Amino acid sequence: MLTNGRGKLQRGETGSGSVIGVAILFPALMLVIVAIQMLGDSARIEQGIQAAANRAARTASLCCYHTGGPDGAEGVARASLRAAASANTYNQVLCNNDFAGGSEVIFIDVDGNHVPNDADAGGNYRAVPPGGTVHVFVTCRVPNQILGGFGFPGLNADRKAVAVATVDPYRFRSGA
Amino acid sequence: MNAGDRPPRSRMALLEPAAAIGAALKGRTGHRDERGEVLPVAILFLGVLATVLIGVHVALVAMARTAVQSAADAAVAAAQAAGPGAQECDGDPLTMETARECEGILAARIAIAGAKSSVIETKAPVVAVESERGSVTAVVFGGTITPLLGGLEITGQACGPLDDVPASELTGTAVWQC
Repeated sequence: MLTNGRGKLQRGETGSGSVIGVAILFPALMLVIVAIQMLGDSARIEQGIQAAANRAARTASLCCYHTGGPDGAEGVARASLRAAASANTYNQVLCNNDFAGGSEVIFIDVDGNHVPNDADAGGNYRAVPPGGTVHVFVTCRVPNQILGGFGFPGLNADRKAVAVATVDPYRFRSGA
Repeated sequence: MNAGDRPPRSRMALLEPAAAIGAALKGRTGHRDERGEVLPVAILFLGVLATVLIGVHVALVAMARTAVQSAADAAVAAAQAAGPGAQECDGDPLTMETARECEGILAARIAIAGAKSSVIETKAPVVAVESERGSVTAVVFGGTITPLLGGLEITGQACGPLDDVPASELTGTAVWQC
């Protein structure tokens, strides 16, 4: 114990360096945990988004005779994406934007030409291109609160996924 | 020497660095006073240890969840593509499973085995086909060992419509529900 010149007790400063180290390191360590949690959650969310896009593309490539219309492949793909974002879904895709409505479903034929999803001049919807591909583009604006449970304002949390499936040319499709 | 001969305290303070330099040159450095540092160092050590354990736990669980969910997605994709016929795959010749169930279970097991560095299979995967509704559901059980909680079981689930469901039903919600 130290005394000042007037014989009054004063507190020593031994150990204060370690206390300062604790005070500095603990917030940094907490940040490391939060960062790891955010990375894990981000990977899981991206996996869910990619799985939803894959499922939509696969179903769209198999289901329908027409690309668009009431029972067309585009509508089926969007129904798949809506189901992935619905509240009672396991591993739900939770987005701040319209996950299904903001998606794009594009058909490409074997020559690389785009096959439109809307009706032609005669009001007929086009057939899905046999041997071609269907591409599903989705964007999810992930709520910041999901990423580790912490909201970081200004954090760019837009996640995009692209899925491609080949249209089987020998598959029977109803609705011709 | 009486008290009056002592130099003033300010002069003593000025002389301390010089005395320290002199002692260092002579090879006689004093020990640092470490009293009172045990508790902060212990807290710091435990904090770092806990942080490392939590970080490893979070990372391991994330990897396991990703692997199990991938296996469930693979099981659904395999069951969707399989035919509707009967098949034997559980080792019991008295019971017959559907080809969709067998293909889904096989795909899930292969996916889990492929990710054995992240997760191990704790129970056999379950693939349920609901022909009336036109959907297939796969549930995969995996396990991992974390430094915080020890053995931890993780479940992955996925579902999707069968390939032969008409387009008019696919635009609804029933076939997409697990």
